[in-house]
Amino acid sequence: MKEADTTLVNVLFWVGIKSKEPYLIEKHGGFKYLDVSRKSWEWWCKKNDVIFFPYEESGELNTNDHKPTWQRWFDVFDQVEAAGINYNKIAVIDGSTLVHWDCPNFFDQAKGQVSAFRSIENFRWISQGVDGYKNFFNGFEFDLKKYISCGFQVFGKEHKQFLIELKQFYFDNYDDIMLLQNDKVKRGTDQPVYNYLLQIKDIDVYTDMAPSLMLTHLNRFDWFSHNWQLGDKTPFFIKYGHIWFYSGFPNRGDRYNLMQQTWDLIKENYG
Amino acid sequence: MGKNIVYMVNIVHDERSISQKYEWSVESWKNWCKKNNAELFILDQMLYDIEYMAPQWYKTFIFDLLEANEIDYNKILYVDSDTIVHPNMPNIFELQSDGEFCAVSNRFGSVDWVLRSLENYSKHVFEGYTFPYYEYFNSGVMLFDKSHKPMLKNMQEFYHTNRDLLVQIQTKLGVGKDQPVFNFFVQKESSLKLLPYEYNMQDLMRFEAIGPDMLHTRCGWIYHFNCGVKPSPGYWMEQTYKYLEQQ
Repeated sequence: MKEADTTLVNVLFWVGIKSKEPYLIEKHGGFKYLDVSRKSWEWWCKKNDVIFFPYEESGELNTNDHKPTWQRWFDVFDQVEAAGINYNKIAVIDGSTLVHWDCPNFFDQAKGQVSAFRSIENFRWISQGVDGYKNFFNGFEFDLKKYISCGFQVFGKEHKQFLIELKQFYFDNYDDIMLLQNDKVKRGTDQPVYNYLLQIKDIDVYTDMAPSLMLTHLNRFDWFSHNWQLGDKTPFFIKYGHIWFYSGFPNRGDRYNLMQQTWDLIKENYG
Repeated sequence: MGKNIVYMVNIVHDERSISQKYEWSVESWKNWCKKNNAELFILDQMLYDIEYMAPQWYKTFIFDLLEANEIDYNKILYVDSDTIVHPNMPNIFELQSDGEFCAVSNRFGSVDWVLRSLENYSKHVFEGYTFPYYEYFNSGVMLFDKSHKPMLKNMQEFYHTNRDLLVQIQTKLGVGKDQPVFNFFVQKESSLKLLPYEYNMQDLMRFEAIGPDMLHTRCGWIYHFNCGVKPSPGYWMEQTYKYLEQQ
């Protein structure tokens, strides 16, 4: 009789749903960028003995009423467990990313119930989101110094209960949340609510993973530049970053174009 | 044991420095020191001819100055004179353990400038030595203790020995004066602890934190009006100080 494999593995839950909703297709300028992202992550996972788990079908098929950004939290444990994977930690990452071929194994850096990155790139946008939901959360005094991004998180089984409660909260308050999300506040989807609940439930979030694991707003912070004074044309984001988030660009379609250009520049490093 | 010291360099030497409104920074730190049983020490005199040494380098003279003035001290916080501190900032000295050098990463802002500073000084001054980019700190807020006295003395000697090269790099490449040198010395001779962004909020316009609603005062403790904040650092120092006074 074959012995059961009890080895725990780390899982990369890669969010790559190609919604068929015309609104979302228009908003994202299509989903071709996911094909570029996938190539880099599949390769990195194989190199680091991590299970690549593509999240391509959500529990609720209507992704207009229930955005994938919400549903990823409701589906992550269900889908990984349904696949019979004996997991240790799970990383949830947006498909709008590319990973550097030499990116360190970030599961080694993650600590506690949940590891994430603070989001401070645009305090105006963040504070408008937080202030917009304040009454909904009965005037809770939210600490802006603890606001995190939902784009990349690593957690273990102990975070499951929080996500169950998040799902319950979402469906219990669906109409109110949609009103705030789509009409009144319009500053993100899951992120403000996720952040409020983290603070209300006093969840300890570890935020000291290496900053190179989350380079965002590449344009705003001049990551596309290079050291022209030394004649080195390698863009800084490639030289110093390990995970690149392609967000915050002015034109729809920029994301795919920039991801594809990056990939063309670096693909030979991926075996 | 002496008091904790907050050290500022506030030298008025030309028309530009007269109009900077640094007095608001001084007032804000004076108030914070009073509340936290610390002593504010302000250097307002030139130590060298300005052609020989820019006042930014005077940060390295704090131990000499305190001892020359027979001031007993414990820990030292250096702050730039274009900063305003929130009156309710927790006691920052408590974040520092013995021997630790504390500062805030300079990755919050234009990384183009930071990375050129790191790479250019690495190549031209520090023989290829380098370190992780996110450990490159802004030298506008720094915490020292007595263990850093030899390091600052070494920096002074380094300046005297390499002054021509340093001035040439500063002039030709424009990627920092004391700051890059501080960074390399701390990496080589001390133990760096990075503090959160709240303790040196740089480049506030890029982060869209600044506006008439004083949003920046909700997001952190030390507001650093650098990186060409419009209409001027002085404007925002005065506005921020007066706003916080009324709270």
